[in-house]
Amino acid sequence: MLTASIATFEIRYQLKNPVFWVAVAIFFLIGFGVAASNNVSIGTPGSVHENSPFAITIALALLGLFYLFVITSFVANAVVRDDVTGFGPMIRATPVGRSQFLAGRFLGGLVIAILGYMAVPLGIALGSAMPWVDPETVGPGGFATYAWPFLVIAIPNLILSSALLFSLATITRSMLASYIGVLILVMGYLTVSAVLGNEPAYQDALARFEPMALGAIGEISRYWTAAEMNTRAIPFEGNLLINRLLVQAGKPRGQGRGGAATGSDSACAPQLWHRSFAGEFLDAVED
Amino acid sequence: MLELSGVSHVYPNGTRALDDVTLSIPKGMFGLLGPNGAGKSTLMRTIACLQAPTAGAIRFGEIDVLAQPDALRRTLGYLPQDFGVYPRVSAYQMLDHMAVLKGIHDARDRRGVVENLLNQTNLWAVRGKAIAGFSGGMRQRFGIAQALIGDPELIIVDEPTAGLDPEERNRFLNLLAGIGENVVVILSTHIVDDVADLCPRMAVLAEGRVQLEGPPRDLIGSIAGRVWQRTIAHQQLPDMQAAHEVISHRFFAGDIVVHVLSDSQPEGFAPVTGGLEDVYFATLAQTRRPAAAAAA
Repeated sequence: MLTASIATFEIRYQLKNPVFWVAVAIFFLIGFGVAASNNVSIGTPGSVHENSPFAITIALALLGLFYLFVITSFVANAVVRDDVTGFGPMIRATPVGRSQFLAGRFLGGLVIAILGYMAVPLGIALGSAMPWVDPETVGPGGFATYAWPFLVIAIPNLILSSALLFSLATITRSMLASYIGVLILVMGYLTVSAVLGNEPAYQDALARFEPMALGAIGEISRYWTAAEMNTRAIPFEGNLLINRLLVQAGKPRGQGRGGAATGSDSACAPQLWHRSFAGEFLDAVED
Repeated sequence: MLELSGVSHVYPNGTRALDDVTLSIPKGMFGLLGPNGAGKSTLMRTIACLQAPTAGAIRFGEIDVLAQPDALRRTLGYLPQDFGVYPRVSAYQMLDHMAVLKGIHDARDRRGVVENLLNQTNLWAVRGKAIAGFSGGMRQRFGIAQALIGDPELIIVDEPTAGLDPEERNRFLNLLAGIGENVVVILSTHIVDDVADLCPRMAVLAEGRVQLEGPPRDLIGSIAGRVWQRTIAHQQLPDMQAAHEVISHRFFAGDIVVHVLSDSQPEGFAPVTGGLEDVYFATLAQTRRPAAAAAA
């Protein structure tokens, strides 16, 4: 209840944040561009429809990597806002429990991240409906075509990314440090997946453990024909299922005080938060 | 009601911000007067459980503040010095959020509390406007509104009138005066008039120590007949300071009006009715003298 109220405040706060709408616009345009232009496509062979289940799945998995920067601005902001604005002392003088407070902030940030990412499927849907798009390159589409990959690919990725970045921001307590952290993370990810992706020996491991599910999608669809890519929803089984479960389970764990239910967010964040509170005493300056 | 005993705080860099502060603060408005850097904010933050003192004990009624900070927070209203606000959030929305954090979970209760406080602090007309765009006075009124959520029994306001124009300051003091006598209100300030206007009891804090404590009227009485005034040209000030115990001086139409403390009337001086300001400056002068002697 308390957590929900805090999350609601967070969502309303972020909905007024220009960063949110700029991100929505950018990711909408990317989705739109990918679908509406014959020259732009990500990961789909020529005869595969712009809005085929496979194209949407790939787009949602791949764009998530760039969306990390947007998530940082949501969840890192939720962590550092009190210190940056100078409103913190008032919050800390209230009896609200830190775990519940953090859980609310995290949940709100996550919901906002999910809402914002809906711009991608929206952009694809609208883009493929444009009159200048060759009807030969457009499939039937339909709500499920978009909803299914969003559910099995995008949402788990967003939960993992948000939890990771929330922890990162809690540790560093700085917006800039969080962005740098994300940059390192993304570069590390790209390097590792580029190196291992070329080794057939690692294919299975990559499919299981690669957090954005691109490895798993690649493995599943390796021998798909264009017709399959146009019609088959990505099957939620085998290594993809393992991957998705691992993504949800394999995040940092700890004992959050108060045991607030936060889905599967990183429960170690509250502890770090507590520690950083203790640290604040040390550098408080006499005024 | 609020009992501090032997509260000391030493920052890691060695600064002794609070030195054995022992105070007994009853219900009603209590003025904590001191120059900038006297340790007022450290004391306020310590009482508000935002930082732990290195030594000492604090009790509020039945609550052992250092051992049960959450119990204190449930009955605490705190207005910090120079606070900031979130961008793009309206006064109503922020108060509502603070009410949630202070444990008012029923939406209807919360609405009543928030609307009441917005009226009380004269912010009703601007309730939908972003706090970030408020003037200094409006912002402080918002600050006191959030401090009053949930009927706290201990209210701490840290330097609330600093930077307010006289009209805004008056309005703010009116608001404070209306809070009621059944709660403890600690008003920290470096402006003597704030305390003189409002507080039946006060203490002077300087260099981390309580230098003086009591009802302002008694304190003024203690220096009655010992304050003398003279108007001099400003070149004469150093001589005057060498010859007499000058507690304060201020410019008036280009000349300087000095107040000195003395048991008998010094030559050329006229008697003057001492005010709280003289008490305050006399106390500060006494505090500084040993330090100055040590430095010399």
